[in-house]
Amino acid sequence: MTSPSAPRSGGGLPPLHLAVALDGAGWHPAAWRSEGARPGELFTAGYWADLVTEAERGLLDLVTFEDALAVQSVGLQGPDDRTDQVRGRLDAVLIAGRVAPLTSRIGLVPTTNVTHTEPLHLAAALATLDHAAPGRAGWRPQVSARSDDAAHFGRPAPATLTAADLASPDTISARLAPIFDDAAEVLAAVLRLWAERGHALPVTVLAHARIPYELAAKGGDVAYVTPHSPDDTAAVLAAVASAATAVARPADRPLKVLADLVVLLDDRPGEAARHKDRLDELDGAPLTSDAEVFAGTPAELADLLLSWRTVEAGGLRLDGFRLRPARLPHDLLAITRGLVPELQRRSAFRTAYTTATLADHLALPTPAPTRS
Amino acid sequence: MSVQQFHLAVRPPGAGGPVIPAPLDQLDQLDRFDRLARLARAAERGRFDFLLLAETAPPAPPGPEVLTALSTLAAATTRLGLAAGVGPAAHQPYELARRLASLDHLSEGRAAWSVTTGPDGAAAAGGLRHGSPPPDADRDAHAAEFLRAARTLWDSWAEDDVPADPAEGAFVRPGAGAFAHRGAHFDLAGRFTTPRAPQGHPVVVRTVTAPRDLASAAADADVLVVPYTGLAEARELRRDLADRLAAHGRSPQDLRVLTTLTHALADTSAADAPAAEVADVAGTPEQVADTLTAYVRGGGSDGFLLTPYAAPDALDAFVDRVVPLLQAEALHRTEYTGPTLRDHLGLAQARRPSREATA
Repeated sequence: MTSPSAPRSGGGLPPLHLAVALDGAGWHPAAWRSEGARPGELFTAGYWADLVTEAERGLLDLVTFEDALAVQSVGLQGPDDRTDQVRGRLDAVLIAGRVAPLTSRIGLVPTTNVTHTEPLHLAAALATLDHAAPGRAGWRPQVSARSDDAAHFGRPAPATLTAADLASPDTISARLAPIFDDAAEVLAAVLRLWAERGHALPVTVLAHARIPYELAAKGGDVAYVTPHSPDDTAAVLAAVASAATAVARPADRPLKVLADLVVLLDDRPGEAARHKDRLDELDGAPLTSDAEVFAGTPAELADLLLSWRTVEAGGLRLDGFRLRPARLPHDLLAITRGLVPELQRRSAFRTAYTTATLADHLALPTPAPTRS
Repeated sequence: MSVQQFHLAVRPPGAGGPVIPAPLDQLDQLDRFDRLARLARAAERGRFDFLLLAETAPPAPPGPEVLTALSTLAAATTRLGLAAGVGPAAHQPYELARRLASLDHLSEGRAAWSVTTGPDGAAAAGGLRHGSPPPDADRDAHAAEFLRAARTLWDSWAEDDVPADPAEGAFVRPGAGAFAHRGAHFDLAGRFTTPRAPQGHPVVVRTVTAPRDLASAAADADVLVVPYTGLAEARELRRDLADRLAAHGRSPQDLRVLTTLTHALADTSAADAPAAEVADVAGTPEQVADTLTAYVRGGGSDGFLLTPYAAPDALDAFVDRVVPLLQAEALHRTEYTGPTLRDHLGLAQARRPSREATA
């Protein structure tokens, strides 16, 4: 029996932080067609309430809610004509607000656009969420270079990506550097507005390259990163550490780093991979993602998570993982009822919530970092 | 049933309403949020049509962001309408329309938008990164076009655009969400993210603070909020309104008129009611019920938008002591008859023009 206060898991490392990223019917584009999916309920409060209360039952640190101003598409630029994938969304902050009173411990972290929105509105909405879910709100700011987002606001596209730009995350973010500069200003403005009202919500940033790593290190508390192997994890950690140095992030406030993984989980070995093949076939293409895709059993996933987190580089290790369930609610249930008990058996995850706020779940230093 | 039923709504004190003793300034935010939930539950217990929560602007203390707060209140209630008072001046149609449609989904058809065109929005707009608020002289035209753009966005998905049919492999219909709006203030095009809302369009509320507001309301509002006046003046306003509605091809049945009201309840007579001197109506529950009944029966309005005192239980007294008297006379519903705010208000579902007409 693991005591909740037992701080060390195998290898003397602290327990993992676990987040789940919620998006539509799941992260596989054909997930809405899988068994157990609830495709007719994606735009209802009941669907989101069920997912978030299940995540809380699994004692997770937080859930993130994906969002975007533009309708989903296969490519990065503009809408497409696909009718066989999920299209349409509700506002992520409002979903988080709707489920706030139904939960009491789990962190609620909506995604918002920061390229076309107003810091004044963002700060007020997220501060309100932090009252609706006291101390449990967080934020994932997201930039947008899409021309369709701009057209929705009657604005010119902030940048045009050429084929050459799409070569790698680094070339993409280099082209988008002005947008990231702009985002850094928005983050600073929001943090200033919060500070004036005594707020400090955890800020989490998904980052794949140097420029967004620096944005995360400058204005964030948590970086979601997307390594594809232990070696890659070392490279990513070194890059994050170097970005933190570049923006002079205080050493006593290390950025928390969570690795993103798309997961398909089934109990029988090989079953998840077969399901993935079936969904790939339905969608007409193998699942591709910025994050590593894992298909296996909860125990196999536990092996992977505990192995990746032993990697150290630049003085950093992974503090945990943000899992993207490929199928909802199936893979969320496999996380909360399969993976979590597996990690608990290995003394690598909490057996009860011992903290009340998101900042405390994540063991963020208090008071909130001062950021310039 | 031939008796005309009241429509009742409530807004918390201190948020764009009249100045009332003991405002909420000193309360911390969290306490205020709990009070909001309590107010919403009391309103629902009294079978009110909706709760209106409006943006605050300086010098009022910062209030909650209204759409997020209402989404949370949607979890604390099941039938009460949830109206967001938001000024277009500091917002963008795409984003606001999306959030209002999201609230309508998350509340299962209980969302409303109170379109405020006072100086509030412009004041808040002092800190905008993108663009600047319209000049005062242009505010009404800006708001009217903003609302037209929002309706275009709400109409961009049809009711049956999300078959979500795994057997057919069809989640969405082709072209769902495609829209374009071009006008003097906005030039927008693309695909809207949010499927058609349960009510079609959230209910649109307008407030008359000046005679010119009647023109806007007659063109595009579902609910009109007017100040409490003498009955003769109220009837005159409604006659004026009927003419203006007719000019837009609308009938008085397409618009509910609610009168703002502060009230003070006493045990024995008006004189012993707390703050009776500043309330529009004061007296015993019977006296207040009689006054309100006479006002509605006399053609003054379709009901009332109450602003209770800042006391946490201020609406409870009205709900417990006045509402039963109205219900006994069949002047107010004892149960909600439908799930949506449009049902409560007796308003038709917003109809969507055919795709050909919107293209």
